[in-house]
Amino acid sequence: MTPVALALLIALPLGAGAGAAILPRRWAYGTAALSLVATTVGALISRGAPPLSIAQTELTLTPIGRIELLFVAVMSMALLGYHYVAARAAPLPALLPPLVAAVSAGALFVGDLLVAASFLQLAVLIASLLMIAEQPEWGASVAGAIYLVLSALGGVALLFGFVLADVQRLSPGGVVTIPFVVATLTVGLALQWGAAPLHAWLPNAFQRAGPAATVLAISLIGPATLGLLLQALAVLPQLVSDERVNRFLTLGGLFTAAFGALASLAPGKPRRALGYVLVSDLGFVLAGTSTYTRIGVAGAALHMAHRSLAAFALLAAAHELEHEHRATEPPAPYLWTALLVAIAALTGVPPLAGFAADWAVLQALSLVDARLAIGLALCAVVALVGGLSALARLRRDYPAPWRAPNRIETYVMGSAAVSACWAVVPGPALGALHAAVTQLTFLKPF
Amino acid sequence: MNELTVLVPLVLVASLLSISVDWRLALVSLWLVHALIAAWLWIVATPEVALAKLITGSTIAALLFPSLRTLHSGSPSERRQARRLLDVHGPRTTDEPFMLLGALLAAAAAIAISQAFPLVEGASNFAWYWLALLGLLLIVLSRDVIRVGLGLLLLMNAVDLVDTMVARNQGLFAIGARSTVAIGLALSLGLSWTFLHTRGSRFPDGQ
Repeated sequence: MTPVALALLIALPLGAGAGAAILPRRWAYGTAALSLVATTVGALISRGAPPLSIAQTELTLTPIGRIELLFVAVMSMALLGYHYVAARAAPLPALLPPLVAAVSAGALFVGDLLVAASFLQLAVLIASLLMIAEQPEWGASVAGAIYLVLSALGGVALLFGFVLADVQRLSPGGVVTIPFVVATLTVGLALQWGAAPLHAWLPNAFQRAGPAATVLAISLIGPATLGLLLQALAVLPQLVSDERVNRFLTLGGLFTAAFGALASLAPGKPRRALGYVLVSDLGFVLAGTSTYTRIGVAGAALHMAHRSLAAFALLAAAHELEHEHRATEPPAPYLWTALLVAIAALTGVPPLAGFAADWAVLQALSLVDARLAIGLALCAVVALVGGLSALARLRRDYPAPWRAPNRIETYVMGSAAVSACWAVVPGPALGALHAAVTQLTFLKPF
Repeated sequence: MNELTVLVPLVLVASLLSISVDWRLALVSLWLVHALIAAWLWIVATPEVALAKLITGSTIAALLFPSLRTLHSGSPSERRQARRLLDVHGPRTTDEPFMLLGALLAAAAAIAISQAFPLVEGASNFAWYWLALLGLLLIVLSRDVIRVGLGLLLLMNAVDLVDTMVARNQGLFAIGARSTVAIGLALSLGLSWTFLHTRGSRFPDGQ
């Protein structure tokens, strides 16, 4: 880590956020975009640099942390672009750079997990602020308040879990046992990610809150939380030593997948059903991670990235479709098709990109227990049915000839296409993720 | 000054915070909880940590003041509507005795657990156990979003206390990051109450 990289990762985004709050709209978006470019450059130039010591604390960026920051910057850019094209009025350009700076700061404190978790919590609070204020409806503020309370509770559980891990490390064999530490951290992670049965905020936010804030919560905070988990396990490898606990965590992933899939079949608002499809999808991340194998964790990280892209496409398409219903333009099936593609990609319908992300997790699970892999694959099929039935409820008549797509429809269709086809990227891009995971010494070597 | 002279008023003030229906009393109690924790940290940790806690507590109280004042101002019908929207307890609420009972139970449980499972050896575990249990009780038992928020702030304080007991010499970043999170949480809570109140007020029946 160099002082220049530190300035690009932290200082510049903070300044950009303050600037974007006072600048006119176009300039504000430009400033925010510039700060995201700075984050990308900062993450890239810190490669191979020795740790930077400030106030007796060493700051460094691990390979997995670097990939996390690059992904967060790219996702943020996509969100900023959508927000600009859709001409939204919410203060995203002012809040996004500080949020990314908080995620970057968390990734830098490799050795101090409490500080890293505090910065992640700060990012969560910024996302909840946007969720409360983004939409003018009262229901959106309620969804924001639910997210605020549950994610803050999750953050407190994570902080407490790291304190307990410290106590356990200092006095092994004392009152604090490894299963107790893992249980506390699991509650925190489940609340942050929206894993069943602590998922309440996710379907609510998907149904009622604004798309930008929900994308921040799912597609930016989600990968950042996975980054924190891997960072924590690298420092506290003793937490993965109990196979019985790991087995429970894998079953927890399967339970989340099954619960979300079944809940998505329930009749109700289509957007809520799509939220449950996302809850179900989280099962892949949980199950892949809890195998603690290289292939499983690489698959889980890949799935988290894929889920973030698909969630962005789903949220943008669902939100714009609602706007289209109120618009005077003749209806055309562009957004509906984008939703269809995004659901198929999210649930891993072959040969779409989601299947590549699912495959690695299923392979890792089959090495542990083939029945778990079969169960997870079946849950994905049920979630697909739930998603499609929700989509059927959204379908309208689209009289031919269809009008040409407008700018926002083109953008959303492009996002759905990316979420469905990212697997065509060259092998080295995916190899970088595998190489970063290989450096995590707590993983089993297969 | 020994630890007991701080812990006894801390128990009393936090109990008051959990049962008080008057927003001014709740806010002063919240500030006093922070001030007493700061005094306790002065004894068991370093003056820097204690000062940071006092500044954090004062900032939190200052941030929550405008939201709470807005919620409890206006005509009686406006105040009734705000209470309906946020499930805020009124002056004649029946929840008070239950919360008092809850606070007493939390205190009893904290005494028992701190003796049976002393998480940090050679330190007073009662203070953080009790704050954590009281915070959890407020979050789990209250439908009132303001009390849920106050419960979250108490939980943050409990984690802060236990971490300070585990690592007595806190680093600059650790103190700063946790204080920033607590202040950020207070800001978010205040804004969420204000937004819920303002947006809900547009509906004539308060729903």
